[in-house]
Amino acid sequence: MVSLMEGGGGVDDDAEIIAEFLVESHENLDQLDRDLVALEQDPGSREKLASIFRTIHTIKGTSGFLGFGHLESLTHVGENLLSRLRDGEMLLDAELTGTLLRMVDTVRDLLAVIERTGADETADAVVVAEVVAALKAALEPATAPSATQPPATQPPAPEPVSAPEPTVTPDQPSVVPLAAAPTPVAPQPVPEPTPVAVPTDAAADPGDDEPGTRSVVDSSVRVDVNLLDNLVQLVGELVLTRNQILQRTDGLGDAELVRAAQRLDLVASELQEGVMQTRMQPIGQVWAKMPRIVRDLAAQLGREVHLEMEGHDTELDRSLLEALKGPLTHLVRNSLDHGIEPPERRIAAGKAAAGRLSLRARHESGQVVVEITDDGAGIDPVRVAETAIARGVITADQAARMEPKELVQLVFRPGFSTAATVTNVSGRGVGMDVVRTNIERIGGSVDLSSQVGLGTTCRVRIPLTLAIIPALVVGEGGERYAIPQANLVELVRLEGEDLRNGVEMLAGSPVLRLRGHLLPLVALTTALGGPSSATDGPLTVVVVQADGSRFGLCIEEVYDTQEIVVKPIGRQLKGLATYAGATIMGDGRVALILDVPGIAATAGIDHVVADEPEPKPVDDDAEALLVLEVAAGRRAALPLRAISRLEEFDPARVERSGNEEVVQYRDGILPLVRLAPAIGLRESELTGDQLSVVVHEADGRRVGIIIDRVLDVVETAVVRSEVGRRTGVLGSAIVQDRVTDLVDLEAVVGR
Amino acid sequence: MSTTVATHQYCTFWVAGLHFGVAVDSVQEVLRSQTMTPVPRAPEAVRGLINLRGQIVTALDLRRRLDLHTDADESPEMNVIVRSRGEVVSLLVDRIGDVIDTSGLELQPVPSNLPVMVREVVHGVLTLPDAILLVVDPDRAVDVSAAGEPNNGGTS
Repeated sequence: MVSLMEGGGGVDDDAEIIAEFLVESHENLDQLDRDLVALEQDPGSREKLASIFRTIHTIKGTSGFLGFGHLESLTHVGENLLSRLRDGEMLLDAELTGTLLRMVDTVRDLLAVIERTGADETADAVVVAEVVAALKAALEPATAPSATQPPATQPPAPEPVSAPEPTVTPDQPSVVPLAAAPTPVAPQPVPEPTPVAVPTDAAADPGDDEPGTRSVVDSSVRVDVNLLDNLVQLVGELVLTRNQILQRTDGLGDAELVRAAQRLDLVASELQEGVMQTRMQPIGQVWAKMPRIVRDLAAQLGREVHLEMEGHDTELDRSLLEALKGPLTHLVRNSLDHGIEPPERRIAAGKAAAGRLSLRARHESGQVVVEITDDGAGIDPVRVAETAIARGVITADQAARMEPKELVQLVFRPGFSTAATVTNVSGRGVGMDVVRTNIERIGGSVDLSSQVGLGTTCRVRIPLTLAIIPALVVGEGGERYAIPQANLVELVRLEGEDLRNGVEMLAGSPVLRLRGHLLPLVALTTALGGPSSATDGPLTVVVVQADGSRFGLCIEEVYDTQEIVVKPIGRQLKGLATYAGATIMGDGRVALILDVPGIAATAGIDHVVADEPEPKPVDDDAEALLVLEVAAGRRAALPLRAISRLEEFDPARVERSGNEEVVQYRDGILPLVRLAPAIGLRESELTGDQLSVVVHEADGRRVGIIIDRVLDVVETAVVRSEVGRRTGVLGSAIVQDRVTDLVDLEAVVGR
Repeated sequence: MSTTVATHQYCTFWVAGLHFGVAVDSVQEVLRSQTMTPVPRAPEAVRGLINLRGQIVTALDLRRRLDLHTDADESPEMNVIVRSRGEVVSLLVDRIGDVIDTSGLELQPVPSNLPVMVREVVHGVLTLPDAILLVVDPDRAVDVSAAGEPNNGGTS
C-alpha cells in the first residue's frame, strides 16, 4: 500500500522521463511556431497567448526538475515576456514575435542537444545567453512604446553571436518568418568560431555518430485515440463473430474448416489481448515518477515531504493516463509549493516537520478517482477572495455572495494565483487553470476541498469510458446487470429458517439481521421500478456499499464475476441515477452497470449510518451473542466474536483420535466438543441428519462445538446473573425475554 | 430550416401508417431487428439498448416517441440508425421505404392541426405526387428529455 520509492529513480527512469519530455516538447514547439505566426496576424488573441504561455510554462517546469539549467533560464525569461503580453502590459509586434520565435528555435536546439547527450551542458551557452539577453531587453523598456533595438543595446556584443542562429537550424522552416521580423538580428550574419561547434554537432548527428539509435521522436508513434477506439470495437465484433463460427463448425465434421476456425480462434484471442494491452496501463507508471519529482522539488523548496502512494495497479486507458500525467504532476507541484509549509513553520503550527503527501488511485462507481492529499496549510477562502478581487477574476459583490467552498474553487479560474511570490516552481496562475482544462478535456472533473491549517485534498475523477473493471454479474427479470466489484462487500444466501428469522419488516421496510447488525434491504426489482414481490423462496442478498452507507440488494440470480469494459450510455439515459454505464457481455448482448450510490439515493437510504467492517458495539456493554439451542430446548449463548463459522457435518464424518471426536475440515483436523455435556446438560438425540457445529477459532487453533441449532444473533447489553453458574457456564442472563446460559468458552474448549 | 436546402434525398419509413423521411446524410445505416436490452426507469420512448459493433446505442420507439397508436400488436423492429450531435441513436420504425429524391420540391410547414408530439419532431412536409412525406429532424427526434413520462417497468 505505502511505498516510498526514493531509490527507484535510476538512470533508466531519468532516460524515460527525458524521452517523454522531448517528444512532448517537440510537438508543443511545432504548435508554438504556428501559434506565434498566427498571433502576429491577430495580436489581440488572449486565447492564443495563454496557450503559448502554458506551453512555455510546461517546458520550463519540466526542465527545472530535470536540471536543464540553460533551458530553464531561457524559458523563464520567455515566460516573463509572455506573461506581460498576456496581461496586456505589452503589445505584440513583429519584432517581439521575432524574438519569441528565436526563443522557440533556441529551445529546439537545446532539446536536440539534450536528446544526443542527455544534458544541456554542452549547449552553446553564448547563444542561449544572447537570446536570453534579447528577451530581457524586450522586457526592460516595457513602459516605453518602442523597444526598437533591444539586442543592439546589449553590452555583450550581440552582433557576432546572433549570426549562428540561422546556421544552427538550417532545416527549420520557422526561421523563414523570423528573417522578416527581427531586423536588428538578421542583417549582421558574421559567423563566429564559437558557435560553429554547435552546427558541427548537429551535422554529425544524422551521420555515423550514433548509427544504431533512432531519435526518440522517430521510435514512438502516436496513434489517434479514435483509431484505437475503432480497433477495440472491431476486435470485439471479431471475437463475437468468431464465437458464432466456432459454434457452427462443431457439428459439420469438416476437418479443414475446424482447423481454420481454431486458427481464427487463436488469432482473434491474441489480437484482442494485444489491442487491449495497447490501451490499458496501470497508474503506477505515473506513480513511479513521483518520488523523484517530489524529492527534487522538496529539496529545491526546502520542504520535508513524506510521500505515500496507493493503488498502483489501478488500470486506466492509455490515453487517459497520458492526459492525466501533466495535471497530476502539476497538482503535486502545487501541493509542495503552496500546500506543505517549510519545516519551521510546520513545527510552529504544531505539526510534524515532514509534510505528508499522499496519492491514491482507485476505481469508484465506474470512474477512476485520484486523490492528492497534503497536510499543509490549506487554502484560505478569504485570501482567495481577496486575490480574486484584486486580479479582477470576480467583483467584490460576487465574492460576498459566494460560499467559502465556492471561493476555494476560484483557484481554477484563468489568471489566478494564490502564491504571495511568484516562484520558479508554480504559482503564476496557469497551474490550476491548465489542470482543469486538461482534465475536462478528457471528460473528467476536478474539485478541491481544503481546511485551513489542516491540508488540502484535490480529487480528480475521470470517466471510465474505456477502463476495465471487475464486476459481479447478476440476473433480474431475465436481464443481466453488472455490479462493480468495488461496491461489493459480500454475498448472503438465506433460505427456510434463516430467511424467516433473518429478515424482518420494520415499518414496512425489510431489514436483514446480519451478524448482529441490521442491514436495510432493497429489492433490485423495486430499484428498477418494478413491483415489490414477496416470495418465500430462497433470498440472495448482495451486500453493497457506497459513499459510506451499506445495504443489501436482493436479486434473483448470481452469475459470475467478470472483467467488463465500461461503456457510456446515451444522452437519453443520462438522467437515470440507477446506472453507471453499460457493457457488452460475451454473447454480444448489452448489460447495464448498476450505480450503487445512485440506487441508495433513489431508495432513500443514502443516509443510513454506515456499518463499520469491524462493528464496534453501540454502547460498551452491548455484545453480539450467538443464541443456541442445546439439550432439547435449553438456551445458551456464545459471544459472536469468538465464532468464525457455522458448519454442518454428516455424523458419519465424525472420526476418533484418542478420546476425542474429530472431523476432517479444510485440509486439517477439527476437534469436536459436544456442548451439552460440557456445560452439564444431558445430550439430546440427534434430530436432523446433520450435526450443527460452531467453529471457534483462537490463537490459530480451531475447535468445533456441537450444538442442536442456532436460534438467533442478538446484540444486547448482558446483565449477568450468578444463577446457574457451574463448570462451563459463567452464569445466566435474560436474552430475548428468556433465561439463557452464558457459555464459558474457554472452559468448554479447554477440556 | 436551412438544413433542408441542400438535402434532396430522404430515407423514408412508415410509423403507424404515416410516411416519414430523414435526410440521408444524417442516416448512418438501416438494420433489421436487433437484440434489445430494456432499460428500466428510462423515458417511455426508450425501448432499450443495442450493441452496434461494440458501440452501445439507445433505441427509441418512434411510435411511442410520436405518441401514435395503431392496432398492430407488435412493436416496431426496424432500426434507422441516425447521427445526432455526435451520438448515434436508433429510431425503431414499422417498415422501411425507399430512398426518395425530392429535387424540385419545396419543404412546407407542418400543418398546425397535427398532434403536438408529431409537430415537435417533424420540421416540414414534402408533398409527393402520391403521398405526403413528413420530414423528421433527427436532433429533435432523439431528444426525449422533454417527452414521455418515466417508464416504471409497467407498474407502480
